Amino acid sequence: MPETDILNPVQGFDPDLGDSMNPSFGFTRKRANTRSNKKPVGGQPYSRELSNAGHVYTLSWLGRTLAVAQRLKWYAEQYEDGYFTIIDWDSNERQYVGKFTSDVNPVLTANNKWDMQMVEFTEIPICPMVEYPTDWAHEAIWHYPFNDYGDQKLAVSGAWAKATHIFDKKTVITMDTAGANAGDWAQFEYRGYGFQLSMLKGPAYGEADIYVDGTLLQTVDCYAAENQGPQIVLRAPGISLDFHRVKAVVDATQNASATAPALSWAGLQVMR
Amino acid sequence: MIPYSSTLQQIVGAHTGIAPAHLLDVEDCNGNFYYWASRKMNAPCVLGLAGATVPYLPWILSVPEWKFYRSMQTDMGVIEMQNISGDTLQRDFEKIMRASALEGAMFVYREWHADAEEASKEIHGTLSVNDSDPEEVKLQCKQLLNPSSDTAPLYTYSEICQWRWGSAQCGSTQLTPCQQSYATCQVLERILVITNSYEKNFGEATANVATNVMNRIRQF
Repeated sequence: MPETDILNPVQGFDPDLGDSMNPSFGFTRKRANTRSNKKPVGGQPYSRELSNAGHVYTLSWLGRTLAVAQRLKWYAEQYEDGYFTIIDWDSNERQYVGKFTSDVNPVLTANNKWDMQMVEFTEIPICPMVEYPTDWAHEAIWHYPFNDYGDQKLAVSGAWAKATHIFDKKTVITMDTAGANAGDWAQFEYRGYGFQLSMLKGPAYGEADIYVDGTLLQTVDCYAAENQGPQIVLRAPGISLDFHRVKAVVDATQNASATAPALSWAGLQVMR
Repeated sequence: MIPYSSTLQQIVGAHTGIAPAHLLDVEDCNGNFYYWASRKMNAPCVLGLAGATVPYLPWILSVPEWKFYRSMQTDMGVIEMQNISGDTLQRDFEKIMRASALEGAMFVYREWHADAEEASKEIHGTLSVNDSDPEEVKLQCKQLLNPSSDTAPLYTYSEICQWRWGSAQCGSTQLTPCQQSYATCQVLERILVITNSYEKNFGEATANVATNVMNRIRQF
């Protein structure tokens, strides 16, 4: 359980160290570039996500006590072949699991003042976390069944079709099925952490089995007495950084109050 | 040509998306199955219990740019895998190599689109191992039909029969040897010669031909 070893568990001054373990700067909130981008001279850009690599930060600790320098050095050595947790306290206390991928070089600048500059922290994918990122408002993105260029992104098998709905004067493009054939499926592959699945809810909507990476997570019921439009029907925040697949398999069953077992995939919100 | 399903066409042709994973199924000469990939996943296999979902170990570092010659020239490439994992005594790959030989093992390589659950490319062939680098395994992949690796008998175009007289291929059971020629052949249906019809209008009596009888096939 190395993820429970947190480099900077305290937000401010840590009396045990006589200082703060938080870096002076370096949390750029930027992640590694993992994409291949190609732009035809007279066309729209193409891109493919190539890797599950995470964030890389170049952190610096300036004017710290020897205890801070020793702690950094120990984390670099102990987790040379592993990973630990670091917290970005200024960014909604977001946690990252990873390790230092450059040397920690403490430089004495004054009496009991040490500088550790340009220490590279690299996030390691597929590691469990103490707390998974949850800032859905700022750090999650939406994947829709069709991308901005109109390409179908939601892979489907069976009787699914593109559909357009209007809710509150807003157009929602979805992938719909009548839900009659049990086993028909729709699947989206993404790169990131956890997700929130959005489907249309209403009186004519049925149940679907939701699989994550081939494992059944939950059966969701899309029935609602009134047409509610796209709603979050499943939240799964506790998923590590990696490529993941979310699959909705038609159950062909419905709530006793529902008038039909239809399903309508509206979108997938993914934590990045 | 294998047609893509409509779903695969959509996923492969989209402007944006996740790059396909590389899957490698291997069956060695002892019938052991290995499943390796460029990223950890469960996927239906081709070799073994075909269609069953199996875990693929994320060992593949790189795959070649496959080139299909569409001729007798052999399609080949090198798949590189990590050879670091293991315990203090043996690396994982060494255990596999000790258990059996990968030389000549059959492989199936796929470019796998996990969301569509289909492959956009599938290549079958045989492997050989290049062990020049201790930290990486280099699997030499060759197509199934590889004429350059065929062992062909060393025969030549000749008017002289190349079977040894009285051998199983010759089939003669007579007491005296032949002269390896068509005229003296004792089992004509088995003679191994290129037969010619000579043009006879040029005065064959004056042709410069050897007059000594020579048995060119005999070693002693």
